[in-house]
Amino acid sequence: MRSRENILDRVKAHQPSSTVEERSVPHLIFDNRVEAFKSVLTQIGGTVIELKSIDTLSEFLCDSFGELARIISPQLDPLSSGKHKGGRCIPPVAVLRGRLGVAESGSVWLTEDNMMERSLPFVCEHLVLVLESDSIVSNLAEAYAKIGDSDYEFGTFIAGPSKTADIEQSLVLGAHGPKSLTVCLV
Amino acid sequence: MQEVMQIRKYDHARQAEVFNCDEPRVDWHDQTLWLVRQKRDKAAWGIPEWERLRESASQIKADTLSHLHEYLLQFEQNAKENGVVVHWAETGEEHNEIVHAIIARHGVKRIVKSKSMLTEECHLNGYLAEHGIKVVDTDLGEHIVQLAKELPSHIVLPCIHWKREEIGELFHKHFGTPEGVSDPETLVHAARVHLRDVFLSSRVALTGVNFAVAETGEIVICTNEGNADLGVQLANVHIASMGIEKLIPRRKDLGIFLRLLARSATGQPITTYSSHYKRPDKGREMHIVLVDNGRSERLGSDDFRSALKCIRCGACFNTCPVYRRSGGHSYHSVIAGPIGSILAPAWDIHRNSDLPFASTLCGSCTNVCPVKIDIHNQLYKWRQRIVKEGQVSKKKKLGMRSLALVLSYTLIISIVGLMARYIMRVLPFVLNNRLNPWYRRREMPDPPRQSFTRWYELNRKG
Repeated sequence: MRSRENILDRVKAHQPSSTVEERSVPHLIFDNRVEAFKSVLTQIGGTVIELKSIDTLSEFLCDSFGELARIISPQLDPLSSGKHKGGRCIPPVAVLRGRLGVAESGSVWLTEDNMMERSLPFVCEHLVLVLESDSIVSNLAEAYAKIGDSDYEFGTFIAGPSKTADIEQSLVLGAHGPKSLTVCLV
Repeated sequence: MQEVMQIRKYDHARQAEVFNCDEPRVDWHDQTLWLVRQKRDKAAWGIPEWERLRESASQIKADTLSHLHEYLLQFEQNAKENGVVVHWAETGEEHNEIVHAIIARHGVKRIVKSKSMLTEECHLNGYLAEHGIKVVDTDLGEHIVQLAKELPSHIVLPCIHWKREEIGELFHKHFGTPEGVSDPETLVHAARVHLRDVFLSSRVALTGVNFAVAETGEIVICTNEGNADLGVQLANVHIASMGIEKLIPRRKDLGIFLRLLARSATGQPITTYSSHYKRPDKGREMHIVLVDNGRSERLGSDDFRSALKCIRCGACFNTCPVYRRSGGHSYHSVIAGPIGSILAPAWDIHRNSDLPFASTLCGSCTNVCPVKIDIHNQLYKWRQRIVKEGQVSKKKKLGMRSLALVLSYTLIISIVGLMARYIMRVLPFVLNNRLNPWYRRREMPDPPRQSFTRWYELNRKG
């Protein structure tokens, strides 16, 4: 505990007096948030699909990923098998619900209560996020205003598939995490 | 000062000279980084309020620093309430001991680590290796330099100095990829397959921290690869190491910083993953190690305090004409580039006294910095301090003294100018030879016909 006290004492002795006045920043606003979201996410390697209704989700998944047995999702009862838990097998496709979308960065906010298991959005080979178009905000400042002081345990913004440009700045999708991200707008 | 100064092992200029022997490679390095700088510009110009965002981020960090004591206490309390174990380390060594103790308690011999400049600063990997624990760096770029037994040459792009063919060769040796294969997609896939096994079998994961929120006790970690999240979510124990300056007051401040970070770093609108870790998963452990290691001292310095605002985006590297043409390793410091050059002298003024001179003071670093650190001013101030403390070579000292003399007297400067113009015209080889460092790799300009004073006298109208 000595270190704690020493650090805190030094910080207290050395921190300067405050001279800061807060100024607010006007953040970028989009007239058509859905279009902006689609455009940005597509540019960073994601795919955006507009579904007519949530009922067509299974059909879309079947068309895109073949047999549903490969898909794990709390959204698709009774497909949400317990296989993933503990077993550490790698699910080919995970379908999860996003809480809100951010147009300027093409990102989707999700929290642990929609993840089944926290590792799922990162460990799956392909990630599908279901998002209500109405939940898309213009920018991150609006996103945090919506998130407010909500009490999640773990939350993350996901913007596109996992990627790297570490080899000569050549972009490669599917670094360690999902090789693709599809956002289904409903 | 000891004569050692004259033949120092660590010398940016000398190492840069070695780097510059391969001219096409320097051009390639320069252009690759300039491309990243251009991406940053494009991303920044797409945001009309960009300059106001920078100002706002700078103010929030200033506020953080002036209330750091309160914010640290607030953060600690909230993190504890969230079920996180909070540790405090005064030095890098103490940090390493704390991390080692946690790992040892779990009886683990291998851990995964995502990018953390702080653990580099503390030399954690070496420390743990001495104690029989292997650290696997999971960021692809860091993994590559780790395989090659090197250190990162850039804080965001760790292997920016490696060519794909060389990485292909390295992977052939370590992962058994076919010889001669250098296609990035194939190489990334090989690393993915190899590291998946490591992720799935590691019980302890180490990460850095991009932002720590005092108001909520949560930490935010940003990656493109998802390696931090994979490591943490598949392990039983998460250890996050952070400098005490990583705090921000409120969650909503992330709305400013996350807009700036990736755009400044690589020109992306946001990193692929911006993960907010508040509570450990059920049955798992989460530790946060708060590290000082000189930060609380720097906090007391009016000249150098603002370097604590740094969010480690690397924009100052990519824009720096010296970094781009000298390579990260010539800085012989865990953080290279302009920001490294103002951080490192505080860690060891003797060892790093050359770094503030590795700059043209053009100020481009300051212009791109998302939190508006006056990097070039601090480079200049470090130079003054270093000279005052006698940490420069005799040659440099003598040179500076002579120059000061010349520039202080009108008469001397006109005589020297006259002589120089004459020599450059009549006996150019006196200056244009290898002994003159300004002549190396440069063509000398034609000598002016007259001094500026004379030109002004002749051309002044009215």
